Amino acid sequence: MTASLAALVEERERVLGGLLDSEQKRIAVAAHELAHAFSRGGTLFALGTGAAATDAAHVVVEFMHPVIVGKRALPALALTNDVTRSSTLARLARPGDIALGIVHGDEDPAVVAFLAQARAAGLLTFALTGEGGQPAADHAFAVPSADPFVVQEVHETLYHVLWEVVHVFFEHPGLLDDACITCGDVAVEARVVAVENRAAVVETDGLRQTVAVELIDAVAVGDLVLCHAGVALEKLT
Amino acid sequence: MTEFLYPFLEREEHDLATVLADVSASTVQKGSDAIALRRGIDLAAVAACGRAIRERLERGGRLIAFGNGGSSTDAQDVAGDFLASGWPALALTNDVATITAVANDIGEENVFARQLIPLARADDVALAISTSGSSRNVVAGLHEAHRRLLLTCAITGYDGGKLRELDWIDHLFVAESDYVPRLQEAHATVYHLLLEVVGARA
Repeated sequence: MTASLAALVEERERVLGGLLDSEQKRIAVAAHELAHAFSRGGTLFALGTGAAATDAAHVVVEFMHPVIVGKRALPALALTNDVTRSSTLARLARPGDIALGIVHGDEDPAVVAFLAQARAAGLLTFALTGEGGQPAADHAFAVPSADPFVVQEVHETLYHVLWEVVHVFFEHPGLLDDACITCGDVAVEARVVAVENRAAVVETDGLRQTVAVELIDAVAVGDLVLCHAGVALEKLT
Repeated sequence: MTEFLYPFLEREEHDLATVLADVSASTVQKGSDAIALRRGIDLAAVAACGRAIRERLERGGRLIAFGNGGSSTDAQDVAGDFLASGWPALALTNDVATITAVANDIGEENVFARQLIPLARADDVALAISTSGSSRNVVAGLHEAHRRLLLTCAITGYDGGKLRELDWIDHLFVAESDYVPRLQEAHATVYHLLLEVVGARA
């Protein structure tokens, strides 16, 4: 018996270690955006069904009543006990709020609908899923294991880490100002991910910023542009 | 407050890219810490506890789980997992009306013990989850369970707290850490492994 239990512990090591190793950068960026949303008054709404309902309640209590004395309480609500299922989000959520959907398998129609509703309402969206999960969310993390217990335990580490790192950023409030990623000493190469009228959203190293594009000719999604101080200076491709 | 977790952040480098890089590295370290705590789980003790739980369930007992805060969600999770495997199980944090009535009328330290008085039967299993091992209502609940002849099992952190002082406790698991997020992650593994031993109902 203990040999098979030891194999299960090893499976947890392999999956958790592998995921954190490959996703560490995306986790840090996701936590930064989460902290940014909280710093602007955002409220977190969490939803899972079945066993994942307990995770939604768990992540909410972490933010609402921090286990480390001195950390500020951040607004969060679990939709676990919303008997109407979807109306809490519809009635309470405002643009700039945050939605977190949790699924231990690869798909849960309730969570898919919740995230779609949240995106349509202008929320920042996070999804934690099992292997093969590809929900439409701003930050999605799929745990590569077919064992729902392993997936759940890795999710617990992920939402604990997100909570911990949010408080790291809260101790460096300067990092929660609307960071200018193109304001360093040198111009930055960035990829255009959206074009809006006379501005473009560019991304570099996982970070995004809106820049003015008046100085360059027609700009399209996918272009690589050289930017400095919030202005795209030159199209590189 | 996070200096002890992130000493590198005390450097003067406060630009976003530097902090993101440091946070990435610390995330990998957190995973290693969780892994180390899981390696510390006494698997022979898990096997023994799982067999004892199954023996109770097979003679008609039920799993009754309880805890506070994040541990209450663990209690609800393990109860749900046992239900999904075909076994009778419940968590004492499922009914907010009962919890708030007892907390308001008698006091929060009685919220679990009070429920065990009418609910518990001698064949049942009490599974208490407390990160400190010293939560007054959890200790009181386990005392009530012991008085009523339930099998008493507990999962804790730190040094085991007050639960470690109970010489009559049947099965005790201590994830020896004073950092709640990581030890709580090991708790989930302990009760998931217990269910692996118990197995599904025939």
